[in-house]
Amino acid sequence: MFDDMYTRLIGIVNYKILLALPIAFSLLMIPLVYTQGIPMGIDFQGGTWIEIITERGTSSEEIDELKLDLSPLNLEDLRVYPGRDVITGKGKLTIITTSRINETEIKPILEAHVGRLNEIDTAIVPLKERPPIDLEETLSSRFNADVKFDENTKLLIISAFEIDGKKLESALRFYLNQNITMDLQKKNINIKPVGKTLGKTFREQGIKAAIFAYLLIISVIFFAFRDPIPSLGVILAGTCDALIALGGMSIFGILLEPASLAALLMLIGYSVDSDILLTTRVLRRRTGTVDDRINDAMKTGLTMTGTTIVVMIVIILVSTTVFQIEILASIASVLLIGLLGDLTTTWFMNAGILKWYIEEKRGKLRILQSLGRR
Amino acid sequence: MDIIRRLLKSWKIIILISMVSLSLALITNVIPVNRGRANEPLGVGFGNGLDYGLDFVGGIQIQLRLEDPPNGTLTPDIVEIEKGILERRLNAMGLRDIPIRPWGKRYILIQVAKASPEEITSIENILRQQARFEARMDGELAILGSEISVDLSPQGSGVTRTRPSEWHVGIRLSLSGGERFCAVGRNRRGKPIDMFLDRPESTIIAMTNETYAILNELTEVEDDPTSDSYIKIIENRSLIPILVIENDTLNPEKLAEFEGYRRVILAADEDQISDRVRNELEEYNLTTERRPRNGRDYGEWILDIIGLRSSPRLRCDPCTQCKYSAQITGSAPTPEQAREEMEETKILLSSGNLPAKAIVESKSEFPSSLGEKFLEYSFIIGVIAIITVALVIFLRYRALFIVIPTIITGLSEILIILGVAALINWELDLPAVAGIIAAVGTGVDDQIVITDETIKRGREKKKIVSLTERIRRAFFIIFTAAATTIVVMLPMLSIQALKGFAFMTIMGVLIGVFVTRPAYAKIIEEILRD
Repeated sequence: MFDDMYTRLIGIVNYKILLALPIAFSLLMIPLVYTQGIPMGIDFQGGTWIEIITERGTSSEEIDELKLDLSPLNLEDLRVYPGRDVITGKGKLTIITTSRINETEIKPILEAHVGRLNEIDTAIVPLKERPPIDLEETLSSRFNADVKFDENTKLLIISAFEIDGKKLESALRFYLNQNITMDLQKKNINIKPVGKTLGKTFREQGIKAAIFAYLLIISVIFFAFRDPIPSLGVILAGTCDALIALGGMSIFGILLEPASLAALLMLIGYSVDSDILLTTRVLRRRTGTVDDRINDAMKTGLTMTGTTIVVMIVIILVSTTVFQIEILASIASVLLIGLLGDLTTTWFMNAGILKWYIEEKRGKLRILQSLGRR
Repeated sequence: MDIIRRLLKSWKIIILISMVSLSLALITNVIPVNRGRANEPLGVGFGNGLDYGLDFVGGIQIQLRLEDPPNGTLTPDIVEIEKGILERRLNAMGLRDIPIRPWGKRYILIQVAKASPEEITSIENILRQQARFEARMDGELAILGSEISVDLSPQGSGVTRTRPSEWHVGIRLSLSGGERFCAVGRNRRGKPIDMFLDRPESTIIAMTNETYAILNELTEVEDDPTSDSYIKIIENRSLIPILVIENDTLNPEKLAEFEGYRRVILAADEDQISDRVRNELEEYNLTTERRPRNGRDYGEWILDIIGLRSSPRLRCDPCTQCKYSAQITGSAPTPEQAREEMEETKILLSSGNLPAKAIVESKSEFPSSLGEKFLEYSFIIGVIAIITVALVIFLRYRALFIVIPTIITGLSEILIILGVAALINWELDLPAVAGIIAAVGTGVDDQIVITDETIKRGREKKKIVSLTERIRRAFFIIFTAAATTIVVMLPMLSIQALKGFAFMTIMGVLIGVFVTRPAYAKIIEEILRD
């Protein structure tokens, strides 16, 4: 597998044209990202994120109606989209805006659309008589719950952020030693506000750290190879990969949030790996032609990147179809886009740069040597 | 068999095996790194040695932003004091062990795991409300928190390097504060100044007659029977009336004496004063709160309920010497203890007049069932990823003897990373899991490099490229790649949301470079030798 790939490749296209392709492609990403922008998650921008569990799915007409009803609140950059909840398998409605929402204002509007909204789980159990004294304490420590018994209505009310219905029911049966009926109202709304200044701080921290990381990588590469042109090749490849990934995020609307920032960093790590492999094999090995060495490195490099790409595809497939874990899917997508870009930046561009550098340098050496002989 | 015997002689393999077994012992809590909570001790079990973050355990996370004080800018000292105030106020509420972590220049992260909705509401109330500091003498209000400002400059406070060590904190009183202090303190030299933080207002304390009798006997200074009893401290010095409840029945006549009060603190557990009484009290339109002793020291328990934090004695003339500016002094056996007492006093005195206003910037809830699912799914996806890697590697090399060591090394890497996390009590959250995946991913890359370099040795035997040269080249690639990954992650350690990710990646890469990669190289080398 993957034998003599580079030789075959430059047999079809001149290596200098091949070299320019990824650079041109990455440069195209700059105006794209500049005009389209990268969608920011609310962690980096500030705003409010609301998730509602609905009994059934929500149609796009219903979403438009909801948006219309929300318009008096003047929510900036409002996005509403349906989904499926990981735990219950029920419908899910996500509402994201960059404005800060007044909870008491938005709740009635939402309730008109999706029905009663509970911010906590509440279990109501009718009892014949007051339960034993220690039951309250036992339940509250076991379920992190507030437990109250209403003497007038004879109702035991248990509220907590999360109640496992089955466990609570069996616990009550056990402690009360009688059959009970329990009405469990599950929490179905989760609101997360993020202040604008906090978002800005996160964003600034992120940018600062990224710049710092970039400078550090440059120094490590230069220190490792101590040769300006191959070092620049590695750094250029990493930069182009990051640009391609950013462009991909812009095109596919992948949110920039802590998770995808982490993915971008992972990407730089992975992409530089294959470039370091290539540069080391080409510069340090003394046998074979440059093309042979590149062919050799490509065989190893494609296995490396190929493995990661296949894993990412599998993760995207599994996390979008079976598990519905958006974070994992977005991390894997960023990595996938970046690694596909990395195939071109490493093997089209960086390999070309090295070939050109070695052959030119060798050419110059030959001239110098022949001058010396004269 | 021969291979295994040879491998077991190699120190690289010995280190790998011993680190994996040590890690297993740590992760499963065989080496007890986690004790669990007092009422539910953690025994041996896979994963019991690990600490899980909020996104796996479930809970609430609140981000507070501190604003610049009215005159000047926020300094690290002020942030430290704000943190201290929050800690003490939450502790006094009985909400202990809530981590309060300042980060950046002006943010404080508060994470509460396993709390009931009521507890979260009281935490939010504390965050929202200004602390109420008051100094009283014999129950009479001497100074309000808003009338004090603590000198936060470096000269304002300090400790001496002697043993015993003296400490001092400089404060300034406002005009009205100074006047009242003078009026109240004039004839009270040598008497205690009671400093309250969040003293309960319009509140009655209900207790049984047994508790009353005990508190009437106990005195503030244990060996000094002339010092005030705790009942006197509650009723006279804190001005909080006590409702004695006999035989678990409420006496309406007694209750009628307390007009204008809105709240009752039940200083009793349910065996002493039952919920029936509590409900009756609620019928009288009183809100109730239960604060049982739970085996604590009586004095400590009562002081927490009434919010009395400290009672130094008045040692200066409040009408001349220390009317508007004063130095509060104290001493402790060592400079370290003196510093602690000094910080405590600074925090207490600043609490009523927060140097910087705090605003809730973000609040997010992590449902624990979602966390459990995440953990389970991450594990399944991890297994799927490993199988995928194995398949790809098999397709490429068509040799099981390469696939199996790759998988074994990958798995040992995960185990050792988790072992270290258990050892240093690092909290595992979602970003940390992503970090482990990233580290193992680069590990697989490196193993492919080692494999290719080693295999080629077989094919290029005739050429004069020694094995050491090849391994050296492979490790040059590995070290350079590891160094770049580490330097990318280093700046990310400063970002709260990515700290776990960055730390786990760095640790994983280091473990990979120094332990698992050399071991893998050895295994492949021995296998290929035959």
